[in-house]
Amino acid sequence: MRAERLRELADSPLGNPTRLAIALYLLSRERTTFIELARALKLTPGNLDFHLKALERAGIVKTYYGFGKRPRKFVELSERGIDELERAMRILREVIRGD
Amino acid sequence: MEKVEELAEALKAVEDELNLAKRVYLAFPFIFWSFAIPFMYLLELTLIKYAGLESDYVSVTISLLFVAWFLIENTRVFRKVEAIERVLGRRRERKLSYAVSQVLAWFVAFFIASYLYGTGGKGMLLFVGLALLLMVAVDLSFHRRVQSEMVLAGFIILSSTYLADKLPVQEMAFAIMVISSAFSFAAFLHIRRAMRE
Repeated sequence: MRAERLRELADSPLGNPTRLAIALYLLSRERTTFIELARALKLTPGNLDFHLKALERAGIVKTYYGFGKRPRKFVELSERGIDELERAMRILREVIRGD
Repeated sequence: MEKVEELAEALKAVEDELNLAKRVYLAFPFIFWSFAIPFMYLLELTLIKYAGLESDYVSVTISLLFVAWFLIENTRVFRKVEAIERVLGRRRERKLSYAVSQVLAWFVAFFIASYLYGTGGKGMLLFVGLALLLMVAVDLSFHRRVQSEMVLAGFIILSSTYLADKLPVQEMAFAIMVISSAFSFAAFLHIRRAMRE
């Protein structure tokens, strides 16, 4: 049962630990910049870009450009992202409890 | 088994961080009003003095603008809190009766305060202090929880009505200072508790 639940999580858009960390980081913020996210999660820009593209395709995050002194890429969690995160955390809790 | 324990520890750490973020968000209304109330008062005085505008008109317009601003900001904050609670596995039930009761608390407090003290400094203290305590009562009856920071702020403000006309400071200025400090104090306690939990 536990293995089944973990497989279910692994198959979800947040099945990858880096993607789960990105979603969790974004949950408590309205939005963040690409640079800040890379710095906070200690990811290289290339690595972060790879994961963000996958998350964007799955509808988990939204990215857009804002303008200041220079264009900045912003990232925010979507409503679908919150749903998926809720589901992922529920599965993790169930796995720990042994349900 | 060891892996599950590691996972449990990691999940606990994540949940602690989310709880901290939630608590900081919940201090938002206090922080907003602790800056907004003195700012509104000073803006009102300045506009009356230098723009020659009518006192009542300025007061109502500024209050409405700030209430609208607060509602916009607080809705964003509330959405964040709701999202965090969902992820923590505590879905918040949205009840219209709860929202209506909270708004009613402010109206009831306003009528009682203006009936007893008018719209001066004492009236303002009674209005805000009573509204906070009524909101605590609403929270208690709907969610069986008491926000101690709000109770404390309410009592500080209410007990200050006694001093309002006894100190060498204008009544309304005194009321503004008391409310602003009580709100800042409540926000401070809120965040400090979040850091300790």
